[in-house]
Amino acid sequence: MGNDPIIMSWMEFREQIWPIKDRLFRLALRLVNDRAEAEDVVQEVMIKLWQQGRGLLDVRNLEAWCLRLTRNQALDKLKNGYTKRRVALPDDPDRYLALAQRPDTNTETDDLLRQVAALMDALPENHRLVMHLRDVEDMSYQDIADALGMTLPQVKTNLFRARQALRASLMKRINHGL
Amino acid sequence: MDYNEVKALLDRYFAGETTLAEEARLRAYFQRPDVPPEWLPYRPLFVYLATEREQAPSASFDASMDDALSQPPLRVVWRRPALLQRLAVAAALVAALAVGYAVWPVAQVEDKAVAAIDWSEYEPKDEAEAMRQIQAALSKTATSLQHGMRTASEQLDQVGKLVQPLE
Repeated sequence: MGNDPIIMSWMEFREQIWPIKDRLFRLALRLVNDRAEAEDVVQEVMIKLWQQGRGLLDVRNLEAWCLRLTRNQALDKLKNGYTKRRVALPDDPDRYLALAQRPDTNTETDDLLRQVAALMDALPENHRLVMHLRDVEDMSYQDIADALGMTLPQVKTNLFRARQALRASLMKRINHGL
Repeated sequence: MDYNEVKALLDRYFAGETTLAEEARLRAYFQRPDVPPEWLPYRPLFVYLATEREQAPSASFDASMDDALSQPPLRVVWRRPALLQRLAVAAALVAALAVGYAVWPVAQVEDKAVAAIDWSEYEPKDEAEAMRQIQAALSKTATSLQHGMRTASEQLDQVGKLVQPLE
């Protein structure tokens, strides 16, 4: 099967896709805000990629292409009726609990983390996605542009606005004693 | 990093001007417990970003993907909806009937023609028989002509009788 010009072997597929699987999951999670739904999105994307066979090897920037597929799949899911978006605490509560119990953190910090998560979710979609790919996934501006179908100036503008909005919100909360 | 360096990096970060390496240094810096009070508002942001990087799908997800995708991909076959399938079957039947009707009568006529007429049976076998058939045919023709002459004569007589009183 490995020599088939069209069908890709499972091992080949794993080599190409498995390293970016977590990244796809985090992007889906950022959009749908639910771990089970995000896993569904990634699974659907994986099946689509698997059906591409060896055509995957011809894609110029495979990672950016996969990220774009994941974003589209997640947005389709949101459009097609999935609206259970948890704004206050989008991710696994246990993760924040564990963080709060670490020696270098405290309850106040944990609460602030929840607030940051909510602030991130409140950002416009393009701002949120650009900031996520840059600050969580360490992607270059060009790769972000490829993944989101934006120009470089659009990426930089969205990143600037996202960070400015977060900075203002964080300072506002501190100044108001929140 | 000293205070001024962090301050400059923070400003550049929020202006969207930092490199990936500088952003990594900021995240590492804000993991420390001794962050100056004026920068504490930013600490949750960088801690949040650091913890987000640890998000991954569950172990059961990996196992389910292994199960689902470890088989070769199936070739995609387009299946017609049920109504279309039925219409396709009906169209095929109509086409078959039309072809049947077009071909069947010709075959039957051809079969009958071959079976009904065998001209060789009626052909004379020798010269004498041919002469007999010709004489019989001429005799029949002469009888018919005589009958015709007699009929014509009788009708002329009747016409003559009808015309006389007028004279």
